[in-house]
Amino acid sequence: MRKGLFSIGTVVLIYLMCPGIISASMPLDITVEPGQILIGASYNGADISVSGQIPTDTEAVIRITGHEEDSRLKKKGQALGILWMNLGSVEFHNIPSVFILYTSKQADDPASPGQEKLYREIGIESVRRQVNIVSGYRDKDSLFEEFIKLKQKSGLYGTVENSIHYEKANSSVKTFSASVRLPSALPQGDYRLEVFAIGRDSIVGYSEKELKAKQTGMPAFIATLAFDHGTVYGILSVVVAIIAGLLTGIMFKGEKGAH
Amino acid sequence: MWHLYLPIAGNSVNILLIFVMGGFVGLLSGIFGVGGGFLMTPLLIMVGIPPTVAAASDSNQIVGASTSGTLAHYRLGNVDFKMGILLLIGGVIGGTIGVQIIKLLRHMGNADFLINVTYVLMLGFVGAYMFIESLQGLKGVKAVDGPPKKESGYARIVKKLPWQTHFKKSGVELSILMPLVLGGFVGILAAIMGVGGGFIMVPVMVYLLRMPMHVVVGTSLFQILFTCINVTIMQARTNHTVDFVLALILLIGSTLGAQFGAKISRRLKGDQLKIILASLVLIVMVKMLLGLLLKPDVLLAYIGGH
Repeated sequence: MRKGLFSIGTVVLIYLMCPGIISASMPLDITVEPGQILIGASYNGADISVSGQIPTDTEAVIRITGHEEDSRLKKKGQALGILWMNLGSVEFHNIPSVFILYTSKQADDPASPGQEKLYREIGIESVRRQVNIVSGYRDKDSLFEEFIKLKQKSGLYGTVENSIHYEKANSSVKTFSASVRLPSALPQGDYRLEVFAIGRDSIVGYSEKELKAKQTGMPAFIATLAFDHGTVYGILSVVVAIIAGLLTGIMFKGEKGAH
Repeated sequence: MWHLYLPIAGNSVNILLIFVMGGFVGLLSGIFGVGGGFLMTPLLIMVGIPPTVAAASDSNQIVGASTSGTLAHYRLGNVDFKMGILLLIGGVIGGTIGVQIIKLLRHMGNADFLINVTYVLMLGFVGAYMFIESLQGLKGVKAVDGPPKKESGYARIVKKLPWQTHFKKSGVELSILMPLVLGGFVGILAAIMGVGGGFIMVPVMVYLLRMPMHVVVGTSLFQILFTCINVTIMQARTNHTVDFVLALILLIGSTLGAQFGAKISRRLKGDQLKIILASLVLIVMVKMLLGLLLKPDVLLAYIGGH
């Protein structure tokens, strides 16, 4: 019963995101390991292993998206025709905090035009459709391009090619596996990991799993202190800094005396 | 294995890299008596720290570095506490006025334009003046025709001001109003430009208060210490942008750097110090000017950065 609802929901969801390209898509059987990412002191990005089966004549695409958020950014422009600086601001509504696409595509191996279109539809075009840009500037398309560039710079948006590999194949299904690299700047929160099986010109299979990223240990402790007890945290930071400064000073004096 | 995740910055960094950056900026801070914020913040942004966190954590770091630097200079007899406290009082008043001015400017729009242009002009003027003056000093020109010329205008007004007092460490006779007003002026500029103001304070002490260069450096560090304590606590309370772990790694690097810096500073002549600082100020000015003239890679930016 639950599974049935899930797949109906899934089909509706894909349809909403990619109108016009879905004919009929079946749920895929996928495994995601681990389902929770712990951000501790030694966290420096994480690898998630994703595997499953897709029809033989399709390609797998994995997509990770963060929750939708609003963001206000400064827009640079030219003042007096020569000086580049911040002139006004732009608001972006309903944009995913993280958006990364993982494909099996090789750089020197061009996909068919139909598949190329599907990659774009699942990729950046789906963000373009959902975002709402509020600004005095008329050229929304170039604002969007600039926004994507900014996000790519921080590693939170992007496409990783050649990251999915295929193993066994029989006449109807093949096994795929991927080691999905998550960025070191990944914010704490819930993420959606989706797998698409794309055929020649349509999406034929789909599945999604939840991923959780959670701070733990020392980072979690410091973040709680900083956000819930800001003043105490500030004073502590200052006191520790002064003590550290004095200690080095005393250390150096001792050294000087020994000479 | 040298990576550490920073919870407030929300990214992981290489500990060694941060340590070396701290050491480098600390060295400059110890030599010239500047906080180094104008160098450190851009470096931190380059390694993936958000601009607001970079600026706030840097002021936390400067608290430690300037404690160490002030102590080192105090031992060498280079801190004029009387002058420092007066400048500080002026600075706090100026800073408060500056924050109001910036609010007003933002309200009127075009604040960024004024800030950027003020920045470039100030850096260009201060850097060029120091450079030329210390070059003449190195050549020995100043010693001959310096004093009589300076007796005119500025010096006469300064002598007529009330509440003249002697500053023993600096060896100057000045009105109490001078450091108060000049400290206030630097405070206003620093608040508008969003920096500690060390690179403006140093030339003000050298040229307008006529203090010897070595005392200037120690006194400037003393004053920066208090300015940055204030900024760190304010930022932690209102914006939650102080990354204490990041600051601590920077700090260990920079306090060590500052100790070496103070020793190097002692070995250099006043004019040599001035000419190196002037070059540094001019380099930053050129970098800012290029930033204004060249088209940026990305035409959008997060709020809170430069």
